Amino acid sequence: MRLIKLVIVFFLTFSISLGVATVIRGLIPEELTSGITLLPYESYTAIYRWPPRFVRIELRSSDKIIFQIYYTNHENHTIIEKYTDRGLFTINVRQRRLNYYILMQNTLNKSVNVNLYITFYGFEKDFVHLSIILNTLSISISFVYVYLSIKRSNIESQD
Amino acid sequence: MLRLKATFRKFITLLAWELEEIPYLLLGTIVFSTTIYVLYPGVSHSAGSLRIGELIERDSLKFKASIQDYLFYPSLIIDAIEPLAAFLAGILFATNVARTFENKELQTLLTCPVKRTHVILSKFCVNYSILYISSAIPFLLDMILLGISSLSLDIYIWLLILAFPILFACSLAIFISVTLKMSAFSAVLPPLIYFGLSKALDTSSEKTYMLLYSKWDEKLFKAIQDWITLQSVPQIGVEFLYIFLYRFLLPVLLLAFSVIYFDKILQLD
Repeated sequence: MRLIKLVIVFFLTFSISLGVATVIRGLIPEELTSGITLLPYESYTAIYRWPPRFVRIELRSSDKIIFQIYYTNHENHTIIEKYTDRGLFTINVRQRRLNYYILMQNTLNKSVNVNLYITFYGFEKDFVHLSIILNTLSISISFVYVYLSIKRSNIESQD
Repeated sequence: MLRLKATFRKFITLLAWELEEIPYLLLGTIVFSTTIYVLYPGVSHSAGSLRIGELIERDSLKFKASIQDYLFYPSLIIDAIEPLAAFLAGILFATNVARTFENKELQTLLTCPVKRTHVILSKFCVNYSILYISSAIPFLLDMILLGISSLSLDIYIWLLILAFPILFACSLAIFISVTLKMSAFSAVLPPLIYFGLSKALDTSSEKTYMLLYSKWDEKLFKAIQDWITLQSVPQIGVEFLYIFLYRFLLPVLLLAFSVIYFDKILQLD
């Protein structure tokens, strides 16, 4: 009987700590900076995997470039396509396992310096779902266990 | 054969008994701290961006590079888990082993027809399993979040490698608990010895320190992966000898010494 209690305590604590970890991860933004020099007519694409959070991308370049963000899910889905030298873009990433491409293309006959500042903020959606499901499950199991224990002790006291 | 079966059954009963004796608060603290620690953004890399490749197109020439260094991020998590394991193993063994000397619980247990070896080994197995499982679950979750497939062999190799630092921490903790028999010292000394050892190694030989505290898991992972996928037979060089001595033989010797000391030498009042 105590072994079952031990397993319930383990599961309950794990699900609660997962919830706390979700909040901590959601409250701490992750930042990434990258700088690149694009040679004349050069195109550079960086491929990323992002967590399902909000992503803010700040572009600063010394001249106008083609800036495109897209992801592949059997086919290409363009999120942003601009011909600009600076800008601030916010993306809501919905899935974790997709490949996200950031394309920067220099169409000029001179080198261009590009700086990207990427910030991830907000809760990870999949993590939130997982922690809600586990918390609901563990709390339900705990309640069922407590209810059964009370019922059993009542029966024993009647006997 | 029958005798072996009976011994095994007795040992399992003892394991179950030891498991039931674990305080809920302690179990909860260990699960909570390991989960929060492993999934904390400074330790885990799954909350941020993973760069997996790049494409460069210049003068109608295309260059494609795939970046797979994120597949070695579990190694960084194992390095981070190690000091926490030393700290938690100290508390766990102080409560479950050293305190039983102080409150005479062990004497009561030894009045039952159980072997001393089985008693100490069951305590070790239970504490080791608690620490391993509570670290392995968030570690596994983090690897899946990193994008490593749950069906991939890599995950199981990393889980196997995680067993070594926890074995190191637990064997150190049981050795101190059995020899000192004082819960306060048993709780404090394992993390202190762990940090002292790593600091002493760092100051005496930085190369050996890097090998035994930072690079060992990556090297072991590559060797096991190559061996399993039959790509190459791992070269047993001096580096692997150091890793084997420090990460496997030393903990096993500490455990063996603790068991022998408890069985043959230790006098219980």
